Amino acid sequence: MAKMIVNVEVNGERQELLTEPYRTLLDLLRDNLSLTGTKEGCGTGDCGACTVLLDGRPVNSCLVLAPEAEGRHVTTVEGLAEDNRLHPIQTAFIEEGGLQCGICTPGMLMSAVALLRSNAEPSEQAIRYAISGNLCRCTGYDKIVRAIEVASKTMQADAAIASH
Amino acid sequence: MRAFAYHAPASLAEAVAILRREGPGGRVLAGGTDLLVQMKERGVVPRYVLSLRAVADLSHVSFKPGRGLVIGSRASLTDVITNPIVVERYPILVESAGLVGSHQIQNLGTVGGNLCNAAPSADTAPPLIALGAILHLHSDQGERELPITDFFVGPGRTALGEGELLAEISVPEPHPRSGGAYERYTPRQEMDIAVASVASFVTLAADGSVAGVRIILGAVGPTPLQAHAAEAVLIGKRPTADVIESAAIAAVSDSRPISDQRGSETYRKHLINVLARRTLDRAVASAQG
Amino acid sequence: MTTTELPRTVTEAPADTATHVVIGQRVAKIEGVDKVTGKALYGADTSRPGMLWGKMLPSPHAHAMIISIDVSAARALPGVFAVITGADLPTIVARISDTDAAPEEFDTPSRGKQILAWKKVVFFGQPVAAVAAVTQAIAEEALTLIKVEYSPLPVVIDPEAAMRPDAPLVQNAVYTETFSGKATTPSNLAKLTELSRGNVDEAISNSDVTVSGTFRTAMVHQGYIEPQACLAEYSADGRFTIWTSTQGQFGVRGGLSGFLKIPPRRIRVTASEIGGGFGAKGAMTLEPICTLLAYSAGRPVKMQLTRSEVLRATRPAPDAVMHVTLGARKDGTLLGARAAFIWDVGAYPGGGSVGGINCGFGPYIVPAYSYDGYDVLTNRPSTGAYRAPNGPQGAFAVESALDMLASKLGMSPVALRLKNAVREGDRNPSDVPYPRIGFRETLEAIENHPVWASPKAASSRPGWLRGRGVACGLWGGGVGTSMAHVNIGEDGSAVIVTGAVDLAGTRTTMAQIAAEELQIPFERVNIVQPDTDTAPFNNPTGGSRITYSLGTAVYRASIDARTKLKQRASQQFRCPADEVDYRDGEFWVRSDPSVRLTIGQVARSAAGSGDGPVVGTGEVTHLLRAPAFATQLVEVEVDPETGAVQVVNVIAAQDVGRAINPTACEGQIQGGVVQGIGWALTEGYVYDEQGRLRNPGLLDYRMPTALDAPNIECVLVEVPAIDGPYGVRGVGEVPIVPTPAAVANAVFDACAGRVTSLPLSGEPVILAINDTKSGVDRSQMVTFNLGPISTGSTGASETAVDEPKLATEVEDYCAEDDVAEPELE
Repeated sequence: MAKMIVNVEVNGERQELLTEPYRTLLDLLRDNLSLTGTKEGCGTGDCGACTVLLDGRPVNSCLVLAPEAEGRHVTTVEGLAEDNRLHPIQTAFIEEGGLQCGICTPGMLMSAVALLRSNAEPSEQAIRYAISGNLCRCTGYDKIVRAIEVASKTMQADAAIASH
Repeated sequence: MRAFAYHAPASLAEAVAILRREGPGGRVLAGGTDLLVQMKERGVVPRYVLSLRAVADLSHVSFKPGRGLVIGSRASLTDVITNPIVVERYPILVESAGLVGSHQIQNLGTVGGNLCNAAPSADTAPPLIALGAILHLHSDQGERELPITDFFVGPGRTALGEGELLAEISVPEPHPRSGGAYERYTPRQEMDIAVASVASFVTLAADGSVAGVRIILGAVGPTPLQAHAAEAVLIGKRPTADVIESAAIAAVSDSRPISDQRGSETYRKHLINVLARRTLDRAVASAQG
Repeated sequence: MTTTELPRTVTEAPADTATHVVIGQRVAKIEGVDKVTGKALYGADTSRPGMLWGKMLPSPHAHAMIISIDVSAARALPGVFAVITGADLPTIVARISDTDAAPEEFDTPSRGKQILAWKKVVFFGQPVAAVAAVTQAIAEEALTLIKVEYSPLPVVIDPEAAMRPDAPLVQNAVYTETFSGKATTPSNLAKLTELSRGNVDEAISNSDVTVSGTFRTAMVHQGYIEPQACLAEYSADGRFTIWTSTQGQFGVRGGLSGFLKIPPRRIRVTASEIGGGFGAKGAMTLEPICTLLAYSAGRPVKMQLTRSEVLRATRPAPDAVMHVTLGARKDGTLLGARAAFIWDVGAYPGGGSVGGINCGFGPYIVPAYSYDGYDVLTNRPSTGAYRAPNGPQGAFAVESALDMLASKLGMSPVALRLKNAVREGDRNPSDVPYPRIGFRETLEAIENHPVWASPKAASSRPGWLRGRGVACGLWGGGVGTSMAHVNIGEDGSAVIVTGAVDLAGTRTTMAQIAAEELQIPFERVNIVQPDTDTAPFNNPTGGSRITYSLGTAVYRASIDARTKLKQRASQQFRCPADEVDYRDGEFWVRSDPSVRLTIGQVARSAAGSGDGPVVGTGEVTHLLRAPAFATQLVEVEVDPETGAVQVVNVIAAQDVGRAINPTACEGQIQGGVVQGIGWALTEGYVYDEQGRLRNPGLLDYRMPTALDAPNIECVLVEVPAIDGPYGVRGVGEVPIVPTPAAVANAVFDACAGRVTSLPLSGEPVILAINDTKSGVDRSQMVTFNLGPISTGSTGASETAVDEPKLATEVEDYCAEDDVAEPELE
């Protein structure tokens, strides 16, 4: 089976990856790039554990054929912290108990980040809707929602400071 | 997944040429949210995959006077439901496309793909049928238009010919005194497949009576079904609660549900009654308001 | 190693919670940074050079003889390094262990032995062969080249049908086990449990009011988001190295040791970070087959289950058909209860337990009762532990019946439960007396809660009906063996070393205990959970035992470390140890507080003086169980036209003994409640008549999403346990027990439809509403008539007993098989 090259930018870095066409973006991230933060929970787009940002939008990377990532920008959980400083959403998850076993957390964080970038002050209903494609079996979602609320306040405060 | 040849043509012309050259046994890839699941879990092994990702001009959502709303077959569900024209003039599409899967699925999945996959429960089909959408198909023999009512042939089967692919969906401009609504029943709030669904689209005459109506039932037959008996109850009448209730009951006789793991036949019929009534109520209110 | 004298029951000292510095604080998760940055390594996240991928071939039949398997084409495929079938197992094990092949050991009805089916398959999706190949794609292709010839057999997937004499036999060598011995002809009835107390017939006939009902729950899955994954490697020195997603690395080592017939020293197991287990990952799944593939291939082998394999072929929770009759005086005092539960334990025996009845009747004083438990085999995957195993099912039946009783009596459901609630000294269904417990306190918390005490709120959705329901539950609590070391560093830090897996946030609570007892800041404590070569022994994590049992071990180890440090300090001060005082990381001689030594200084000088580093050790082998009780109040809204049910609010009151970390306690409660909501509303396996699973995916196996889950308010009641550190009780399991019943009771309150079968949303609610309108009591119509039960004839037994046996004190509240133990066969 002939392999092909896929050029994709991952967490701000251009990558040139060798793959068969039948592999997925999830395989590229985990196996080609050893970015194992993104998880496979079901392989069929029903659990959201593989959620990454594709050109800024959350998608199930298990449903993106590898060559479909050509020329696109991908952000994974490994790309959230900057200069060894956690993103406010990551800090909020830790402090509010928004994670237990942590397997859903990377995907959940990506959905949360995408939400907060487009809606700085989401209602509880909007938050629950935004993460409805990320299954969690440990937390019952309550503290995840609180963590996202806390992060939205932190980010608004940071933005207010930055704009002065 | 198993090996296949992968093509990513840069134009529609190139795409249909590849389809002709390669012949049967291939699949066209838009968003992939149905195709990849089928390849992974349902034993679908295409010889080749033709991706539309590089074809220019297939992702647009625009409004063209005379034609109405034009949706490229590769426009994502998110692109459709966030488009201001769709929000303002075709809210029934926002309702339905916004119910398909999750945000993640909507960002990747396409209206075109949802239609070509032709699941009896597809959420974008009943509203588009109710709106009288026209499908624009391309092959290397040329282009043709097909009313969407002729598109669904059976579960997972469409009227696409060999070497033909869906390029665009156009939705006529709705009449000023019209309104639509789509509802479905699912066990969970989201991330689910309809057990039964109804799209109702009503156009009122100047005197408030029903000038036109389409009631389309989803997930209760091998394809979306038009509820002709229900429609007949409404035509020419004022849409009072009694009339709507009679129409909803008639809709049950138009349905042909089966019993499966998602619901029994009796229950699905019961749901059609309820959902028909509710969507008609809302469609009429929207047409009046 | 010595453990120093220490107060065994901390809570016998004045409960001075005001002086606790770290205990009771909502400290952040200690491993949180790794998890939110994607650095934590789960079962599928490691690789080894030269690694191969393993895959298994599932059976397309639920019940069939295997006539032949031809693997020649698969073996010949380039890139394939090993192909194994069930018939190969005895020889491979014999080679590994240098023993004689013993095929008869693999021809037994044991799921732990039959990691690949050999002569016949007994459930749909059961693995029949395994391959290891260079890529996943080649492995998948190799599977398609394996030719299996089956001869299908009749299928039975309904436990009541399986009990009939004409039912197809699922296993040829399972004989009904009863208290009076084992039967001599094979049967689908694997076990018959008969428990009783008093004269229940007399009690029922003396009752002023009785209620009866038959209740059903569906087979459900634990739903962990991380599929099982394993990486196994064999080296020339004869050792196996295993990396696996498990609830217990020592359990895996012991299990593999038994399966491979080699001593444990030849096996090193590292537990990965675990992405959810809920009881299921206490049993081995991939480890044995992955190990055999690695051995046969001569290369490391990695395996990960697909989601459909997880749903089809792991160990779900059993479904149950449960009949309950309650009899009471008109003032609500329970006089007697009769229960008969049929458990569908799947295709291999071992899944049932008395957890169902201990949880069902356990919260109440029931002077006379009888319980008949039937563990029945069917052609479905054999069942396993799921968070308070069998508790939710039993509670669903009993708590629904209690609500029906309250209705008949015209009593509030909370008042009825308070009237009969057990207290310290009352006996549970296994006749073991309860120690100090906090059950009534949870009932009172609900009774006084505004949502219960005020008039019912109006529905938030037009046309929907609002209802509220209450239910109770308990879990006996686990113990087991735990050990911990506490290493003191020269910088005054502490590292806890333990061989227990962190399933529920216990790393953080263990660190809090150590910080509290060492009186150092929480930030200076770290905790590691190394492999079986380097960690002290621990039983697997489960049964709500870690905070309680391991917590005691860490407590003892911390006290031991402090005592040793004090001893060293006294040597430096040149005074007797009892003249040295300690506070917040500093030692001083009582008579001269001006000269201080920090922990770090003591530890540094200890290393230099030749006394060696300071390591505290603590072990626990026996503690009394600490039962935990809960009462939950659930509010629902019901669409009476579609039967849709939305849970809109939950108040969960639970006795946690002592909340070491309230955030962690709440998180456990909220998670269990939402699992219970899924169990009540939308989750359930659906099989067709051929025994094939129709919903092996997360689209149609419906677990709650964030939109299906409500806000969950936790009321942490603290009635200290009499054993263990600070009076803490296990938190993790009891939250799921009451929820399905509370949801069903709330639905009844909303729409007067009594649904007796789970999952209930949609059609069952419509049917129940219609039944109520037409005066039909469907639960009374279902006759619980077992007919002639095929148990086989019982041969004479040396242990014949006249009366049904009551569990002894040693067996305690819940049978040991409730705590998920890996199979050691």
